[in-house]
Amino acid sequence: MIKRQSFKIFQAVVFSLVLREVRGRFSKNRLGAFWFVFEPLAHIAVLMTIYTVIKGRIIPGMDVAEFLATGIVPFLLFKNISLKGMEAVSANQGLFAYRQIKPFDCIVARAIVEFSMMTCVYVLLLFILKMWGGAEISIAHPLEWIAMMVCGIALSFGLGLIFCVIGEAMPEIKTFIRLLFLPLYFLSGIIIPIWHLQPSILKWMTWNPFLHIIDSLRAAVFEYYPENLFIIPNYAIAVSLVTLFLGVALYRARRLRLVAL
Amino acid sequence: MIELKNVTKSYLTRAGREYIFKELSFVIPSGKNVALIGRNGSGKSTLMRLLGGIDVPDSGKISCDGTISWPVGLSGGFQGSLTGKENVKFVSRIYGAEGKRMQEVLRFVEDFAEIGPYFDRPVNTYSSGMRGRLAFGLSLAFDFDYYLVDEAMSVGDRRFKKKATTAFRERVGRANLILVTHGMTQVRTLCDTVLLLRNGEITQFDDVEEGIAAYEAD
Repeated sequence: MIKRQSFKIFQAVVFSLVLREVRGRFSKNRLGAFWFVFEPLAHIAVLMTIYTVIKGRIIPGMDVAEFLATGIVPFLLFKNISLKGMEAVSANQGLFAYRQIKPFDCIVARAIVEFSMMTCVYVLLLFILKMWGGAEISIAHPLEWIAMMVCGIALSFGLGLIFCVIGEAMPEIKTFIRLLFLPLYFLSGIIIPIWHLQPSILKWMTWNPFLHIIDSLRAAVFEYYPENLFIIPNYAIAVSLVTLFLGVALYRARRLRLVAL
Repeated sequence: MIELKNVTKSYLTRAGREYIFKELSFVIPSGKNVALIGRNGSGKSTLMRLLGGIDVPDSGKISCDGTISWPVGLSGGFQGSLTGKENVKFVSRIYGAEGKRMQEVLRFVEDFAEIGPYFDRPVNTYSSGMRGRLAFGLSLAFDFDYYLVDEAMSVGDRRFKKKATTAFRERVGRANLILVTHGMTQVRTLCDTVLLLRNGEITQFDDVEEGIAAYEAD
């Protein structure tokens, strides 16, 4: 047995976990690889159809379908990273017998899988919108967009870590956390443009960092996106950093408990 | 040499905290095949898990000068929807066996497990014996200094058991065995030191027969 550096081991473990996770999903049923991308795509397509038809309202300067896509896809990514991260440890419990595999690796691997999947979905979705609807799909401010994506991923990864540790201590709370993401969907301004909301309501909604992230993402995508005084990207970045720190600290304190079967 | 220093391990049960080991200090001798025996609930499996790094002591330290295997014959880590081959590849990657070395591991496991075409079929179509064989072959494909074996020698038919015993005999001198078992025949054929676990204490017997006698009198 050759002695390896810890980072080399981490790399090898994450890589093999990602492969295993994807292979596992691919071979779950026939056409597994197709469903892997098509399932979230269909989910988003249905949502978009419903809201485009029901709302039908025209948002000046932008395409309704694209408006929805730019919000739903990142939000689903953030949600999946948090919730799949929460389950990562209990789903891979059998693997901790191999001492190289740590719970942290499982959470990282799942985040990578979700990110790759959602990237495929997003690209496909934009491709469809462009080919069919002739929408303008370029991102107006790519750097801001990437920065906000990183911020959102950091936030949801931190949340995943925290949920994971809490879920190990109190498994009952997991259902509650899963339910929490449903109202968050509506409170993050994914479906309704925030300028349609009353300032008195919006004032309370701005506590939610996801609202800032989603809206900043959109502001980066669209050239002429109405600016909103309530949206402060720095707030989201600060919350992400604090959450990530809390998550890592909690994990560090409880990491040995997570491994125990 | 594996050294346990002031190891305390307890579990929280409904009736309160249950101590398995309290301030246990012990050195497991190197260069010897060791049998861990004791009655049910004496802490054999807990000790095994501590040695294997699956569980951690509440306090104290376990140090080792070599590599310790995962519990041999462990099949809980297999992903059911993946084939046996893919599962073997997964473990190889974790242990840094890439490229040519991985091919060697694959060939070794395929030969050792003798499960024929099932090697390329999903693990959840396996019988429990086949799972055990695959897991056993997988552990032997890597060179560890210490092999932890927890009742795993009882998988498979007589022929396979014989094969497993021979495989371990071949490794004498290069690797050591730490065997948890209730089968005294295995202790006699494979081990040269007996560690008897009683009430959270370990007693070492360098004479196997003496150890077995003490266990049976217990």
